[in-house]
Amino acid sequence: MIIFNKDWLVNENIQEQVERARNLGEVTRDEFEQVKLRYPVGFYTPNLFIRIGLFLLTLVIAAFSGGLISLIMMDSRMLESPAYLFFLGIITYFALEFMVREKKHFRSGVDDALIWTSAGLILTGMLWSSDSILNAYGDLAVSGFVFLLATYYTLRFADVLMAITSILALVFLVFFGWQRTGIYPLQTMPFLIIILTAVLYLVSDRAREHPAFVYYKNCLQVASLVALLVCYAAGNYFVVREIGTELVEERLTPDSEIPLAWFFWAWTFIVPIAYIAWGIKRKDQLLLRSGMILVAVAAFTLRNYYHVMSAEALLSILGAGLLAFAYGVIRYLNTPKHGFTSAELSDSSMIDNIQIESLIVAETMSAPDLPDQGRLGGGAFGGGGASGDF
Amino acid sequence: MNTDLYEKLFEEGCISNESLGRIRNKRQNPLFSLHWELKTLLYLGVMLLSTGLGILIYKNIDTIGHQVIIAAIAAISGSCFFYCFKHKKPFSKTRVTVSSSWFDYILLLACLSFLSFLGYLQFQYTIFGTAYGLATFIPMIVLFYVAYAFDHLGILSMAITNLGVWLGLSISPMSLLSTIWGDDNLILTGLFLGFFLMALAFLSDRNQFKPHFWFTYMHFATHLTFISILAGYFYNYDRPGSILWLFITFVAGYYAYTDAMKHKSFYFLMLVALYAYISVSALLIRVMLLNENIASFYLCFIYFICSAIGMIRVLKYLNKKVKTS
Repeated sequence: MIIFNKDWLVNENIQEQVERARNLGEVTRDEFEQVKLRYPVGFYTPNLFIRIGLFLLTLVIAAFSGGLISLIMMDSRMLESPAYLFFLGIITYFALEFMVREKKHFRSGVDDALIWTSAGLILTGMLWSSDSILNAYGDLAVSGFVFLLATYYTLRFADVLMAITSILALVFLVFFGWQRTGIYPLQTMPFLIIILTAVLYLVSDRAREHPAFVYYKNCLQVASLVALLVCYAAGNYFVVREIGTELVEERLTPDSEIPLAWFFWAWTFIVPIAYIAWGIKRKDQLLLRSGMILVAVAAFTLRNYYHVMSAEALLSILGAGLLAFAYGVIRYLNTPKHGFTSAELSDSSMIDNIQIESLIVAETMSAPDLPDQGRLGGGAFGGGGASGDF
Repeated sequence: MNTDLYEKLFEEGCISNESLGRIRNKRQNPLFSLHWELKTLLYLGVMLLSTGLGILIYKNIDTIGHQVIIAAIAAISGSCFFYCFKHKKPFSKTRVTVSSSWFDYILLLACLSFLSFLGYLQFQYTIFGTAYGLATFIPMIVLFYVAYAFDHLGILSMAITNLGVWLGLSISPMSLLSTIWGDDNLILTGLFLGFFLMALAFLSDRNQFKPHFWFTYMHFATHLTFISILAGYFYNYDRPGSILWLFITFVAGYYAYTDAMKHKSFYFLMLVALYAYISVSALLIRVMLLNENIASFYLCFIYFICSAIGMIRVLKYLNKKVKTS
């Protein structure tokens, strides 16, 4: 099913592991070169920046080629039928197969661009041509189409974003399907989605270390991440309340309460902490980081319903609390304990030494602007600041 | 984690016995790094705290609690600076690595709260009078000083942004275009600031005075220069001299290209290639559309298809060249 040379994929996985070991100082540079010689990878995979450049240029080519074909065929009536989009999508798809099979592109930006262009065109063509099904089944049909298409692309090209799309489409498919056919769909929906994503997580988490699925390692990793996040969202108080309100099409007054509110509140707060605890126990980065993000989500959920203090006071207190907590952990782990350390183990820096951290700081942090003033021709200040106008 | 892979590699003679032993040892007592998690917490902490305090001051102006907040901000800034100066490593012309990211973020907090404090003083008491230039000039000097004294790249970026603000430009990467569009003076200011930053990058590198600051300077310089040039060209599109703008592209582009090759930087190579491509295309399309008929439309489409294929080849070639050199 997968289009890439399987030996090369396996070799790529080996090279990746040994490279990580090299960054940790476990193997020497020469040994890494040896491994590279013994397990060659013939793909064309440039670094991230070239990939972005190739991605943009391929989009330009795809757009203008499509435009040119349309210009030539402008007089025929072809353009008005969905089959035309389908036709463009198929051409793009063949271009994609050609680039990957013959030119050995693998995560090069060219294949990424063609994957998304062809999938988009084919999907639009499909939806356009099936008006009658759409009218009858609407959301269900759309999520079904997306699921089938994305799953195909995931299996064929092992694309990470397609894997995410596929998982999300599956969740929507089950959601809409149950809404139409289920017993008490409104009340059972959160539990159904929770069970579904929990199973998805467990399956993809097991599969990701399994040698049989080595080609799909990255896809399975993001799939388990998405499953974790959706599993939390399905029981989050805010999500349940808002989506429930949408489904029954009646507005809840702020005072009225949803059934089983205690359960969803508990879920909102316990699950993030459970993720973190589980992540620490298993030394699993994925769980740990999702847990950290979800703690913030839980805090925002609470704040949405209970205004204990003003937003800025909350920000200050939270900020100070986080700093104190981080300081405590750093002090505690000054010498590694229980297999944890606060030091950076790997000496690999980002490619090109691009200093992401400093750029994020520049983009998100700056002092509050002074009130409007003019200089050099009186352009208004932007400051790119955290505050606003006072 | 298992060591099967490495056992196999050892049997095949790819890795030495020594390395295998090292790996076995490490896998038995694996060490899990919380470095990035802690860094994220520190970053969030500093960001939330400084934002929260910044808003608190202005919301509570004219109330009693107000003085307390100001005092608190001054105290935070003062004590953070005190801490940093106490633990400061001696100045060196090359990179100074700090022991922990904790130090970096405390320094950041010190600077941010200092800026809030100054901003407040100016707002309430206009301590710098109405010479608004001074009110942005002083923070900028302080930021540059701190960036060099403590070797802090984040604060260097803030200082460069502040330099832009002093000149009336918002050069935080995302909002540049929307600020300079439509104002010839600002476009020129942007262009010269871009050149100036390029010069700073060049000097840091050549004199080996904080050579790793090269990247940060060059990052702002490249975007600023090329965006200013393109804005200048398109804004003056109908004036006779507008093509001159594009010639500046080639000069700046050539310099940025040689500089990127020298440092083997894929990032800058990609930037130069794409900006240059946009400029050349803008020029050629203009020529092609001189007489407006359907044929020239076709020509444009064909041009884009062929030129983009050509650019892909160029990028691939450059990629190879940097790798092998």
